[in-house]
Amino acid sequence: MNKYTDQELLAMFIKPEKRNYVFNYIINLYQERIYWHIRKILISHEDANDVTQNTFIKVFENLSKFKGESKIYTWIYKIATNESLSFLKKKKRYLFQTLNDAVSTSLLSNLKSEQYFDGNDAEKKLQEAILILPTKQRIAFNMKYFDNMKYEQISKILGTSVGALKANYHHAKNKIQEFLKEN
Amino acid sequence: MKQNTDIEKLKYKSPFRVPDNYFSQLKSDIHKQSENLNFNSKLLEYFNLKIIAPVFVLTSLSLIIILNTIINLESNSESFLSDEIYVEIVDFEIENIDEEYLFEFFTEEDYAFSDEIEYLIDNNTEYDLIIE
Repeated sequence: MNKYTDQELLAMFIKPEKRNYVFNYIINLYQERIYWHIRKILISHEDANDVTQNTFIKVFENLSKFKGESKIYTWIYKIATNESLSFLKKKKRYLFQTLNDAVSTSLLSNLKSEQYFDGNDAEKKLQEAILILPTKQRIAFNMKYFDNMKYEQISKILGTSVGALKANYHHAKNKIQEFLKEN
Repeated sequence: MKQNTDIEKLKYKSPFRVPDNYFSQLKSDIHKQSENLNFNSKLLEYFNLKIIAPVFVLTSLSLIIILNTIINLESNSESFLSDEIYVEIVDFEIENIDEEYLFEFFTEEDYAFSDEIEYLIDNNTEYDLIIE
């Protein structure tokens, strides 16, 4: 349970003597959730580790400018999603392929070589099926399916309407099930 | 082999894991980076001040000097008269000059000489006798 409200945290963060305390508190509160969110997007632990660190550094740099229009939690999720997408775009440039092809190829290869993977064959197959989805659809699917987040929450993070998310989820689920049937 | 593919019913969990004690390590890594960032920004702030302050002072001084020169040049150019106007003014002054006023500028010797002339004129003395 949160000890402080978002407004209290923001007010404390402005004071230089409380800055590190607030940042530490935010890391403790969100690091695991944010790491897992990023890990599901990037698959590789090493990549997820780098992007999680970058995300929190961005939080540290920009929290004083954050106006509290959304919840800190939503804001950090947004940063994490953007950082992950930027990371994938950089990879795309490196691979000289269209974004989805590049991402799928690269992430499938990550999945096959990932040492920090505990799933059975069915879970591995599901991950492969999820990787055929377009990146943003995949992110939304992961947030709903694995993190059991509400559509309203996902909508605030991804900036997509609830209706579109519901339709996307349904569509993604069908694609995955088709893949699992065929493979 | 036909299998149940309804993923909603199967309720899969995320199959990924992390190295042992990873999250403690992550926290300390983030802290290290944020401390570096703090140090770098303080350093940058310090050097910025060191560089920006003299540059600002020098630029301001240069601007003041340039502006001052421009203003002086403009005011001087207003007092400069063209040759034609100058000649006209001198002619006008010469035409309207008061003779009494001119005497003030003669030297004492010139003055004595003009007294002599006046004396000779008053006594109907011939000019040829005076000027040899």
